[in-house]
Amino acid sequence: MRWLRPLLRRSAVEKEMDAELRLHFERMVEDLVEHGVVPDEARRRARLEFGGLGQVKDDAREARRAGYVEGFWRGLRMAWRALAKSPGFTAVAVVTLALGIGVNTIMFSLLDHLLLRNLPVRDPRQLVVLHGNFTTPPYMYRNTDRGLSFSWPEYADFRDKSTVFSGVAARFATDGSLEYHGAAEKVSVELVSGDYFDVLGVRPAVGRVLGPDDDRTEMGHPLVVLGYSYWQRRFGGDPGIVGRQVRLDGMPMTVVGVSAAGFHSVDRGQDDDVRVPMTMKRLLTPGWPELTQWKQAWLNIVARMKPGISIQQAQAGANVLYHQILSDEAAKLPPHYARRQEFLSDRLDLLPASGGMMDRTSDQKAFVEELMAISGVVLLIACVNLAGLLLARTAGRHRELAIRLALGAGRMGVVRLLLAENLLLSILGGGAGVLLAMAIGRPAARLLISPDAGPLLDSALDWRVLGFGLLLAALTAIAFCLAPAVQMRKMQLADVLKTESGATAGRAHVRLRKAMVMAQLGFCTWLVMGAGLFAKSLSHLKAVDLGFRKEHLITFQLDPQASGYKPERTIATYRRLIEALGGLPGVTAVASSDYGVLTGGVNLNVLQIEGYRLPASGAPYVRELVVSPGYMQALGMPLRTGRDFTAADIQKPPR
Amino acid sequence: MQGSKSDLLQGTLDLLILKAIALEPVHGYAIAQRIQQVSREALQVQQGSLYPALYRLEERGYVQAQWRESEQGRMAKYYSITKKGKKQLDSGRAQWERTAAAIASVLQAAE
Repeated sequence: MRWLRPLLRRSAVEKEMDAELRLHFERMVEDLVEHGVVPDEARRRARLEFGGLGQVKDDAREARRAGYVEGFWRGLRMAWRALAKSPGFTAVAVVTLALGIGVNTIMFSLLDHLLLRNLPVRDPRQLVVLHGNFTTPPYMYRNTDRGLSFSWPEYADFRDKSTVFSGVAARFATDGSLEYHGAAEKVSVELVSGDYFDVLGVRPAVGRVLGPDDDRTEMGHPLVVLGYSYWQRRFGGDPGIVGRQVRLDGMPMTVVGVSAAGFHSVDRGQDDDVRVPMTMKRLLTPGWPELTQWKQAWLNIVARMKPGISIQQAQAGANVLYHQILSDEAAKLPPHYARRQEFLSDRLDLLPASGGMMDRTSDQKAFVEELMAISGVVLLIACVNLAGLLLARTAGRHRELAIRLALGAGRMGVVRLLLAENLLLSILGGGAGVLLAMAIGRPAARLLISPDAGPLLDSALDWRVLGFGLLLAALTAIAFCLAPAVQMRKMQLADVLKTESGATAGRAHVRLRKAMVMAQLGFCTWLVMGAGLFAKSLSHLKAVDLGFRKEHLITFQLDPQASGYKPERTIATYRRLIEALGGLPGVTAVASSDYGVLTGGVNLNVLQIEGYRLPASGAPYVRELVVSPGYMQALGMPLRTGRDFTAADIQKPPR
Repeated sequence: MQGSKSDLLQGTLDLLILKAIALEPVHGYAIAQRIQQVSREALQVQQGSLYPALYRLEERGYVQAQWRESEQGRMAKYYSITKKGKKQLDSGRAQWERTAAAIASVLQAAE
């Protein structure tokens, strides 16, 4: 930081320069004296030859970069005075900028959280997500949109036999009911394999995390690790919770620790509340309790590549193992299985997971990117507006600037002054924008993404976002000061001084203003069109035919089993409830289903119809909803043919 | 060089300074003296150009400076050439020689 030295020790540098020049002067005098000149005369001649000492020092100072830095501060001070002289302009400019930069900062922090940022784990670049492409039977549950899931035996093979991974972890996201001190609450639960925390390298914030020994025997490890934000939200960040018992889906479980702050989930955009050993699956998915069914492809697998192995090498190595697994599985397939060849030739893809698992076809991604683009245009409009303001301001200041030029300020010096003013404006605007983003970032995220997105932004303002805001401020400063600078270049000193008003509207000036008006109009049109399309989509969504009558329909959710009700009692409760509700005046129909209306939840099941063969490309999946008699009537679903379920259809209570 | 500093071809002064300090560290006054002597009084470097040039060279990392006692027993700022400065000197000299040769050949052809 040699260039800083003159700034910090300015007097020392000046002293040094003085000493050096004085020495030079004295040596000159001495030389002259040696050549026989009388000392007084020698001094006079030397002084003559030396020229103005001040001028020499000025030139010397200018030669140092410190000259620029000092000039920079001087410029900023001047700029501050100039801005303070017109508070109205300054306020408008700062508010305009603050809005533009604030919106963009919020959008960037969303984009950063949802798309860009690496997982806060050890060496995130070594992480990959396994991805199989074969989605039809024999596999059940394999998520057809993602094709990410695998069975437990497959996971165990990858974990134990792989040569390219240093660790392999499995996870499954579900939900459960967590009860503490008598209050139950629905929580998102992540079932994790014992090596999950080791593979990811996620440390505990308090207590400990789970290890391989916590995941050995089925239903033998009633342990819970809390997610950091859930710990903050539900337990107020109380470290005393470690070692206490909570009830998860009715079962007492011991809280062993809290995972590190900042780690939300390997599934990008999610935030898992609690993590539970995989061997506790029976508790959380009582409908399909077995862990080891090879046909149930339900697990996401995250693997850490060995150091020094490229993703291509890892993929090649993993595929060798994958094909062994597939041929073992193929041996268990029925002999008439038609797509054996296709099944055997499935390919395993490794997807980089430094940022976590991400949907390949993510609507959210497109949505956030679109929002980012729109807010970028908002900033552009703000810039153009400001440029117009500045242009007007510069025009009003022509006379002042011309006088500065006439007094000997360099043209560059004047441009630098304008630049300094703009820089100051953009720093003020940028600062205000970042403050704005801090203030309204979280509510905005809740509004735009989902009500649950708030906690994701708990570190809403870190250095990346701050850096982005400042970069934006600097870029906008350059962008909106271009106009006045271009104008300055064209300015003819004499013309300006001659005219009384000092405002000369040159042809170039007018062209520039016209161009800016055009640009602004263009941006605004684009934005209005975009907003119009959004509004139209929204009204379409409201008018969309849902297939049932949503008028006068009331829904609610209830989960007695989560509070420890046995299945028989649960069914009885539902029956009683339906009867009681049906007896209320004004209620025309009551029914229940295992997933609520429009919650998006369904069961995926395989449907086989005797004597019917699927076309080769068809998947035999059906989306299944378990409903009570009268459901169609209650929802007002028109029946094409046949009839609704009736009470007579129930021969014995379902399990 | 006689006359005002604008007579000096741009960059030539830098070259002369680098050359003057190429062998050993020299202080400012001695640099001017040395250039004057070697050019047999044909080139005179004004301090008004010398020190800005020296500071510029220092900022660019071509020379480095150190305070130490001069032969007369006074503290003086000695400038020495850096590795980067040596490279600059070599390329500058080559450039100068090419330019000089080109100018010479043009002038001779004109006769």
